Amino acid sequence: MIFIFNPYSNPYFNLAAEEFLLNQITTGFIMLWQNDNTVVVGKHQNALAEINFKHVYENNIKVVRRISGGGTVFHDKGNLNFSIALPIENENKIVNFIRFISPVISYLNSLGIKAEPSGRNDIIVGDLKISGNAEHHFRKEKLILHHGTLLFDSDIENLGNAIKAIPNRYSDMSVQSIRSKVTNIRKLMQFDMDINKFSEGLAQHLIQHFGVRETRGFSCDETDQIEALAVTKYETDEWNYGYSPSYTFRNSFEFNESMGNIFLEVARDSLITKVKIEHPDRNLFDNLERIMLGKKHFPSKIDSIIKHFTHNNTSHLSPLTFSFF
Amino acid sequence: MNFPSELKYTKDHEWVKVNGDTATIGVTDFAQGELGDIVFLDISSHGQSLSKESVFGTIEAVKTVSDLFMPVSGELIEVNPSLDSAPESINTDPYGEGWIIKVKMSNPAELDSLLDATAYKALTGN
Repeated sequence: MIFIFNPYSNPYFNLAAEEFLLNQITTGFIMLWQNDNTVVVGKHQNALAEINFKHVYENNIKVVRRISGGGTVFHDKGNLNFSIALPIENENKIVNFIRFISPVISYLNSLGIKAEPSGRNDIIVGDLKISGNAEHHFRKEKLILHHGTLLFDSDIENLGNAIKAIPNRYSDMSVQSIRSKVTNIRKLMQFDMDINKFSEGLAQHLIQHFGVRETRGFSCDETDQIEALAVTKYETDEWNYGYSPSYTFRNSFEFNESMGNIFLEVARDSLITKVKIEHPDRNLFDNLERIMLGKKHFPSKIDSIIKHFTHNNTSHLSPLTFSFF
Repeated sequence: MNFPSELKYTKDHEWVKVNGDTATIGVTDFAQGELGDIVFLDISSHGQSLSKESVFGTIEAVKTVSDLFMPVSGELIEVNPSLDSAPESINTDPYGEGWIIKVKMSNPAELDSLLDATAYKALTGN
């Protein structure tokens, strides 16, 4: 069991680091980490349907898909993530979240916080959620990755706005998020501390609980390999958006003082298989319908098509692009 | 809990029903009970030939994604189409409506290495 010290706050790097370590350290590891403003969606979710795309774009919030199940969470520098990978202990106890969250709960209890597990395998205080948890079971490698968030002093308003999806735009059979009321740990503590002290205390507690023998950071070689995985997987639209199950998209919009309607059918891998745009400007929208068919429903892709036909050369997204997400 | 005697089982909690050289595969009643509500099946290996014990997809229950393995080698010829819209049939009818894939076996002798109902039941502590 190794404790990994991770000073990075790039979400693509951090999610790649988890996957890399799972393949390297089969005896198990613990890692505490933080991300800059990021929405993290569950493996089988429709990423675009889970976010408020305009808010996410305008506030420079990254969107990343993880390899574990469950719903959408928001990370910022007020949130601390813990990853715990352990070998499968008992083949017959298939799901056992308590094995992973009980040491986190006992640490919170030691700070005077009345934390307890919830029915959905989260950590709650009263009826407010402070920690969301998810797992991936690598049954071939006999390893479980458990990870969770700890809302310490996150910007709860920004969190709410980023993952406040606009209803009725997307229709699909993907995994839905269960919205919970959340609160920050910091305001529940008897004695104030900053997130670094909170994190150091949790590290010590987990190191003792799991009998960790070795604490280390990443080697240069490991950092290179993790960055390569981040670039080829976790930074790509193909993984973050394209892995979503198939869906339909509907929206009404206003363009040049006329109203219109958009209807898209999007297959797995984000391939647009049907486009219908109702709007009086047939010259523009006939072209968009024709060119979008067979393209990917990615913001960057749609924006470049729209900019081509509207002769827009600006570096930020075209206003019309937002109507397609 | 149900352990039909006509099926073969794996230690990874999958069942196999043999009909000629076709094997129908699903997860056991015990496994669905442990996993809880199944919310998504992700099978992307349709049409591929896979060897025994390779991963053919993943299953998601409450916040947990788990790998699914091939109990026998062969070509994945069919994926249960109703699981897209009704993955919960694995919970309600794991040995019937909740079947997951059909495989054209390339080496039926591998069936001999699987468990029978009595051995699997004992493995689960029942």
